[in-house]
Amino acid sequence: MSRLLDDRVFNKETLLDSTVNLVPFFILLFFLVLFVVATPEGWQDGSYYSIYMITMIISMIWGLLHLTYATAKRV
Amino acid sequence: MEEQSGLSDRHRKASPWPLFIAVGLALAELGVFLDLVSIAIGGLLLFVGCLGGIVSEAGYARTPWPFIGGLGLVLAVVGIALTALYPLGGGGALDLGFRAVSIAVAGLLCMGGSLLGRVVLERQSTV
Amino acid sequence: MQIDGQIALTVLMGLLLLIVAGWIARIEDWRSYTPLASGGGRAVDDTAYETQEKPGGLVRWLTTVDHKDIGILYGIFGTFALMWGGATVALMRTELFTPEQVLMEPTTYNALMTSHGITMLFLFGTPMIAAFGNYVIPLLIGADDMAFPRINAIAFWLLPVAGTLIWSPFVLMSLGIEPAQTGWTMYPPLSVNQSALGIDFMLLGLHLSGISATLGAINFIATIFTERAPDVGWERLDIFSWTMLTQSGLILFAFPLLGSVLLMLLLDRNLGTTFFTTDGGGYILYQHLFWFFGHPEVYILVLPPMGLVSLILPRFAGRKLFGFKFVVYSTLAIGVLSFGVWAHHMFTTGIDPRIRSAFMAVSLAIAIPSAVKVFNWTTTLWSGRLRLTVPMLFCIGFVSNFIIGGVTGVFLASIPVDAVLHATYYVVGHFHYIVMGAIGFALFAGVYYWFPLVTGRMYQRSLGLIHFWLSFIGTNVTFFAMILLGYGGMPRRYAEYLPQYATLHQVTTIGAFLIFIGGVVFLWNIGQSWLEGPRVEDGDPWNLKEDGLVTQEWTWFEQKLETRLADGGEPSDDETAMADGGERE
Repeated sequence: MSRLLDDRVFNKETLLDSTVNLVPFFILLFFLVLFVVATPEGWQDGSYYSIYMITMIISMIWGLLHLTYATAKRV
Repeated sequence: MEEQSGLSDRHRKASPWPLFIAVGLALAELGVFLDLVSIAIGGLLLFVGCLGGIVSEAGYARTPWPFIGGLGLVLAVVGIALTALYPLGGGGALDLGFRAVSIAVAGLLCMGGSLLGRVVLERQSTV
Repeated sequence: MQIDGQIALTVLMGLLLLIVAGWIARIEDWRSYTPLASGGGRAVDDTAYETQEKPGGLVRWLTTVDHKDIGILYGIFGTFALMWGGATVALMRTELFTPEQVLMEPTTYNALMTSHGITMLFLFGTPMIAAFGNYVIPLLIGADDMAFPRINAIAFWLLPVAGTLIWSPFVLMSLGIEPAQTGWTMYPPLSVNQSALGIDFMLLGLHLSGISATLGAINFIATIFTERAPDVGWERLDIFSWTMLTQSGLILFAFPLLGSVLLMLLLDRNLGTTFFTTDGGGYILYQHLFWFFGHPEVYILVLPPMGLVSLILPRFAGRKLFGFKFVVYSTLAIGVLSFGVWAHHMFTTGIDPRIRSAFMAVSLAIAIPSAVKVFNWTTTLWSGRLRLTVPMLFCIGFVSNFIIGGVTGVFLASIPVDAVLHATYYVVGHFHYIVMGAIGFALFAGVYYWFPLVTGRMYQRSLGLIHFWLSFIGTNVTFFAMILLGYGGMPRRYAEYLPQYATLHQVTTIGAFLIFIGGVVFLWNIGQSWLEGPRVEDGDPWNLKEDGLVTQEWTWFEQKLETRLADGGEPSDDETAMADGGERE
C-alpha cells in the first residue's frame, strides 16, 4: 500500500483525476455492504444466488480499480 | 518479364480482393445455412480463393496456392467428418441435408484448384 | 421445378465465379506473384512503372484500401441506411397517427419496426462511427494509414452485403419471402417459430455485420497502439481516439458473442437444435447471451459520439476541454462497468431478486461516469467564447438531449420503477433520446465539422441551421411525448392503440415528421454543397488557430491545400499530394 502511495503513479494530480472513478466505486461498495448487512427475508435459502450477486459486484469493483490504476500509470 | 504487373503492384492503395472476400463469405454462409448446394460451393470457392489472393498480395506467402490448398484441406476434413457423423438422409441426430457434403466438395475443389494452379500456372510462367 | 431452380442457381453461381475470375485476372496479373520466375527482376521493374496510388474511375472505389476512401464509403453507406431507417419510421408514425389500423397490416408494421431498429443500430450507427474513425483517426494520431488496410476494406465490404441480406426481404416480398417481424432483440421462441425466410436472411446479415465490426475494431486497436507518430504518446492521445479505443475493446468482447448467439438461433431454426428451447437451454439463456452483447452495444454506439462532442465542443468554446483526464477515466470506467449491467433489461423475466439487485447496483453506478462527462461539457461552455456554428449547435443539442435521456434512464435502473415502466413507450422515449437525440446529433456535428476537411467545400449554413432546429424541436416533441405516453401505460410495439392515447401519439407523429423534414434538408445540403459548395481556401476554416486549438487533421488539411496551390491546383506526384488520395478535380 505504501508502495502504491509514494509511487510516481499516485502523485497528487493523478489522485485528483482518478477521483471521478471513486464515486461509482463507493456506490458499488454501498450496495455491497447493504446487501450483505441488511438481507431481506428469503435471501438466505442456501442457494448460490447470493454468491452470484456478491461476485458480480466485487468483480465490477475489481475491474474498475484495476483499469483506473492501469490508466493512471499511462496518462 | 514483358507483362505489366498486377493492379496492386502498380497502385499501392488498391487491392481487388476485399470486395470478393466479403461477397464470398456472404454467399458461403447463405448457401450453407439455407442448404443451397451450388451457392454454398461457389461461395466457399470464392472466399477461399480470394483469401489466397490477398495473403500472397500482402506478402505473407510467395504464392496463393499452398494457402488455398491448406484451407481446402480444412474444409474437406470438416465436411467429411460432419457427413460421417450425420449421414445423408438424416441417419444421425441431426438432418444436415446437403450442407456437410457441399463443404466437403468445396474443400476438395479448392485442393484440386491449388494443385492445378501450382502445376499449370507456375510452369507456364517459368517457360 | 425445384431441380430447375437448382440448375439455374448453379449456372448463375458458375457465371459469377467466371466473371470474378476473369475480372481479377484482367487487372491482377497472377504471374507477377512468382518472383523467382520473373528472374528476381521485380524490384528493379517496380521503379520503372509509373507508381500511381490508385486506379481511376469506379475501379478505384471497388478496390481502394486507403483509409480516407474507406471512411467516405462507410459514410455513404451509413447515409443510405439512415434513409432506409428514416423511411421505415415515417411509415410507422403515419400509421400511428390514428388509433385504428388504416395504412398497413399489423404484420407489415412489425416488419418495419424490426427493420428500423436493426438498420439504425447496426447499419447506420456503427458504420457512421467507423466512417469518422477511419477518416480521422489516422490523421489525428499521425499514422500513414490504418494498421491493416486490406482488412479495413474487407470490413467495409461486408456491410453492403449484410445490408442487402437484411433489406432484401422487403423487395422480395412478391416472391413470397416474408420479412422478419421479431423486433431487433429477436427473442425466441418467436424468432425460432416464425417460418419467415426473412429471419434467416436477417440473422445471416447481422452475423456478417458483426464480423465487419469485429474486424474494424481489431484494426482500430492495432492502429492506435502501434501506428501513433513518435510524438503522440498516451498522454497526448486525443479524446476521440480514446473513445474509439475503448469502443473497439467493447466490440472485441461483445460482437463475437452476438455472432455465436445468431449462429445458435440459425441452428435452432434450420437444423432443429435445442439451444433455446424449454427442454434445452431455455429462453432466458438467449436473453442473457443477447444482452451480454446488447448492453455493451449501447456504449459501443454512445462512446465515440461522446468523444466527438468532447473534441468538437471545446473548439467553438474557445478553450480546452475542462478536465480532459476526467473524461478519459470515466470513459474507461464505462467500458468496464458496461459488462455488468446486462440483466437490467431482464428485470421482469422472473430471474432471482438477488441477481436483479446486483445488476441494479452496477446500473446505478454506471450513471456516474456519464454524468461526469456532462459536467465537463457544461464547465467547458462556462465562460467560454461561444461560436454558434452548426456543429457547435449540434454539440449543445447533444448535451441537452443526453441529460434528458440519461436521467430517464437512471429511473429505469431501479427495479421497482422498471417493473412499472418496462415495455412501455417510456423506454422507447428514453433510448431514443440517447440514440437519436445524443448519438444522432453528435454524428451530425461530426459531419458538419469535418465537411470542409473531407470535401474541400463548405456546407450551406442556413440549411444547416434549419436542419438543427427541426431536429432539435422534433426530437424533443417526439420523444418527450413518448415518455408521457409511457407514464400513461402505452405499451410499445403495437400498430393500434386505445383512443385515449390518440393526442400524444399525434404529437409524437408531428415531431417525427419535423425530424424527417430536417433529415431531407440535411441530405440536400450535403449533396448540393459537395457538388457545388464554395471551395475552402483556408486550411483552418474554423479559425482554430486563434485559440491555439488546432488538431492534427487540420494541419494535414492545410498542407494538402498548400501543396495543391503550389502545383497550380493539380494534384502532384510527390508524397504530400499522394496523401490527398489522388482526388481528381
